Amino acid sequence: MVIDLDKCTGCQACVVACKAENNIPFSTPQEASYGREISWMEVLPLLEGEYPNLRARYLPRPCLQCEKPPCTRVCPVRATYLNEEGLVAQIYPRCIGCRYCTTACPYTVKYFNWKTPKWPEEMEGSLNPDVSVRPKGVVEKCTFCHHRLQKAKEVAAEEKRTLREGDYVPACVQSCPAKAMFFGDLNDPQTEVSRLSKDPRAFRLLEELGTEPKVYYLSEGEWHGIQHG
Amino acid sequence: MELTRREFLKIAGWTGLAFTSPFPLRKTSLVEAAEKWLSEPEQWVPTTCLLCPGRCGVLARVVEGYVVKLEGNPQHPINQGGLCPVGQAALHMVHHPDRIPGPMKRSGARGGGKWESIEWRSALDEVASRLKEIREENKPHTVAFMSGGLKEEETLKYVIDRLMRSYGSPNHFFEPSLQNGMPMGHFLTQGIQEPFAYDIERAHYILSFGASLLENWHSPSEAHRLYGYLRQGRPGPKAKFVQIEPRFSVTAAKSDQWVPIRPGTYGALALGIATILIKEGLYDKEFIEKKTFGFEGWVDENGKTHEGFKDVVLKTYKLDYVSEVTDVPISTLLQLARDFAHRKPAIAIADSGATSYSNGVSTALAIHCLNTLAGNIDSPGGVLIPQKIPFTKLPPPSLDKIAEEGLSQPRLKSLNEIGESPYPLQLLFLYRANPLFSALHPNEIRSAFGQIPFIVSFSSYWDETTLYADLVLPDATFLEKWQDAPTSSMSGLPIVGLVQPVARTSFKTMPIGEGLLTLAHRIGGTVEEAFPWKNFQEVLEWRISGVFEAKRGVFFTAQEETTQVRLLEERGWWVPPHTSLQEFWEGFKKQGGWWDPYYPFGERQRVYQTSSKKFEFFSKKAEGLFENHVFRFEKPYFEGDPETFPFYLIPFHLLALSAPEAVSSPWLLEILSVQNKVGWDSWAEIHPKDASTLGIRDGDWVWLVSPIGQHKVRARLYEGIYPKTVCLPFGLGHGGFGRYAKGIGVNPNDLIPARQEKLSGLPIQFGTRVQVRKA
Repeated sequence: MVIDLDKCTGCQACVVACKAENNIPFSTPQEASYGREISWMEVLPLLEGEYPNLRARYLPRPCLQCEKPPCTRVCPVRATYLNEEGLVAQIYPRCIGCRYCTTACPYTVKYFNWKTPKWPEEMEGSLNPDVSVRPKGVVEKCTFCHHRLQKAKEVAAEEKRTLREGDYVPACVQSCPAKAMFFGDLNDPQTEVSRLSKDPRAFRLLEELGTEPKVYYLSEGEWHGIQHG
Repeated sequence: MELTRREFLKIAGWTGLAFTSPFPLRKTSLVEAAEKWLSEPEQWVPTTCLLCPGRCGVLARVVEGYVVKLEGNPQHPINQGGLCPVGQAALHMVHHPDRIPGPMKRSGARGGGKWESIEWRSALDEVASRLKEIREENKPHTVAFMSGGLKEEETLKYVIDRLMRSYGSPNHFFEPSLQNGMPMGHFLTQGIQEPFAYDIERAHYILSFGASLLENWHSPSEAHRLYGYLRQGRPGPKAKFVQIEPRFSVTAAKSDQWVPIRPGTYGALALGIATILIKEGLYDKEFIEKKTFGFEGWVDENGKTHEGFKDVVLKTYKLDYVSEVTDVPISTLLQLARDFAHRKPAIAIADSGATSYSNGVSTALAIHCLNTLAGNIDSPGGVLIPQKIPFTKLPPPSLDKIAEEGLSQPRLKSLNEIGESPYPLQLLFLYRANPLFSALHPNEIRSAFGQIPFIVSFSSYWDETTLYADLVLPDATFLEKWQDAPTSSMSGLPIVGLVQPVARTSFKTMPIGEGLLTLAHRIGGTVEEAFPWKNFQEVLEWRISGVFEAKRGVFFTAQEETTQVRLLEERGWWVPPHTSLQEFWEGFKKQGGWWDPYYPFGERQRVYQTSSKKFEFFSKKAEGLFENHVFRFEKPYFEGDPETFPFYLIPFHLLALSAPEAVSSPWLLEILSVQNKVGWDSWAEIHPKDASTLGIRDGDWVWLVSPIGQHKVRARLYEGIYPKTVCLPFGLGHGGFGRYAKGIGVNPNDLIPARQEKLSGLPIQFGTRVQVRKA
């Protein structure tokens, strides 16, 4: 995935699109004040400078799907692992809720279910039938809309071909009004994401940690406190 | 036959038995069933979002009749595939547990919250018999209709207007809080009342006077899309965004330059820039000479000498004066003016952020004149005048004597006049208007509402005003009904989206259009005759037939095809993609709408509808409205003396709450502010230096006290704010809208006195000072 911070307007359509697509339970004011709100995609604000010389950035942060994920190494039961598609996966029934991974993740993308998710009866019909609801006591996070990938693979298999660029994009990328998000196969040099990831504006978050995230950001000028790739 | 998953499971179970039975089921039927299920477990239906005025095209993912996701329609010209957070959260608003389940009648005291549910038939009977009675008493003008969020050309608006007219009432008015004063500036200079389009897509310099392009623009998704396109993607030199605003808003944060300004002084700044343009000879002389009137002084037919715009501006708006008034350094003024002149095409834009002060209309005029000085009216990258949609016009209804008499009565111009109207109102209809929340100082209006004997609300939600009504006839949401969605793009192109029912819910609602037609039919006489259609869909089809007959434009389709149509239209051709009205309708429904991608430049009759057929720096229409000259800066008025109330109160809009019902969605309440990550509450932004003088720390509870009210709210220290200013978000502090919204935050309107801009009659939202005290 590539996110162009110069285009991003901080509108948070990606945040809501993700919640709708992935059946993420909404919080209450009290839970939010405890920091227990679940939001696989978050837009993080950064403000620098003093009045009137200010500079602000808004940074959408999904799971960065690290190639060397710190979270998988600490899981005592292999409930989170790097799968063959290069995604950091979660196996909910295996998770024992120890939350080592939420602590290990430097990007804070992992969320713990503090309660059994519940929706009013009227809202239940609008849940996405493709995504399971996670029970109390397990950790969850962004999957790059893995269920969409599975569907796209089935369609491709039916049509007897391999996956093509644009066969599937996660909900956040699809919703982006400013068209600031791009999605595709980084290993295929022909794709737009692969081209953009080599752009002079490209960098990755906290690259010095050696996590090798598969989400690239694009930004003009220097990015304070964050090394360019 | 549509097969539900449940039915499929039945089939699967039955076939399971069949394999063991002596009469095996023929394989083909099983395969057929499975194929059917695989091909139709879900549908994608094109429709249009009606939540905000943007009118984005959406594709609804429908599974077994339930809408489970909305995506942007990639072929819709407004949003081209993206969809803002509010549109995404429409799922919550449609499936909300606290939606009004069906028609309701008040059973206790008004506003007491006791309701009994009734049948549609008796609800409509009651309204119809009251309307008949009022008519028989020869008082049809005492019935008023207040609507919110309707677009100028919408069929529903025509139906409401037509009903009120044939009934005999001149009183259909819009919720004033949703309007801005820019069109008044356009009217006084170009004679056009409809909002203009700002073609930022082709502009190279965007000078925004407090326009909330990325928060509260009339079409958010389009503004966001164009912002992204201008930042990365558009070939040629990069566009520069400049945001002039007292608050470092999201738009300011995403601009190239933020110019903080003293609240309410946009007009002085614009005229200061005009002065520099004229003094340095940086304006478009050819345009001024050929297409404007009143730039230079002139002598009228009575021999009276008039001062020209040029002389007035040069004389009055000297730079040191402008700099002192606005608190913008002279060097910045010069830089803004020179950039504006040299980075062509440059456009000056504004919305209610600039015009909601006491000097709103003169500010609108001052800002609009910059586009004229740049010669940027009706040209690419400039101010465009949207084309009308070629709808079939409804023939005027025939009026009986009662209607004629009623219509001759004085018209109520706004809600605030209800209390002091020349005649007491007997009945008030409300549609998506919530004045008891959105009006300034809503408590004042509540007492005026108390005098109206019968209030009928068509709202789908328990908003504050609906809670105060006598009868509720809940409208279906946009995912459950037929409607049209006419709009125009920021490039001035006419667009009609189709709204069609896609969601299955258990609410016993009725689309308002159907309700109004039924009422008209039950009143009878000339009112019934004015509506010869069986249902609302027939009215829609009838009006849209005009679009078919206009022989132009194209359905929402792939970009290549659209470009071809545009190129042909430029050369005066049009190739019909459909031969009959029937075919047109099918295409319209399948593609989700129609638009015309060609904008004809240089149609002078359309662009200048003034007596001189030019842009008028001096307009006959405006004569006598202002002292001295139309173009002048008036000092903004703020209630409360600066000693006792030292802070300006400047509330601001949040993108997450850009539709009235948005607040009912917990998803949106979670993401209220991207700037300081606040959800589920209001907050008051205050400059750290001001805060430290008052001993206030970040997160402290503070009292905001205005001359008419007070609120307790948490303080957020924010560098991005003009000193001695407090900013508070609009849209929170509800007593209605269901379990999630109720009691969250405070309503800034409670602190603002109900005053109106003297020319436009629009509410002065930025019109008070406050005191800040640690709680």
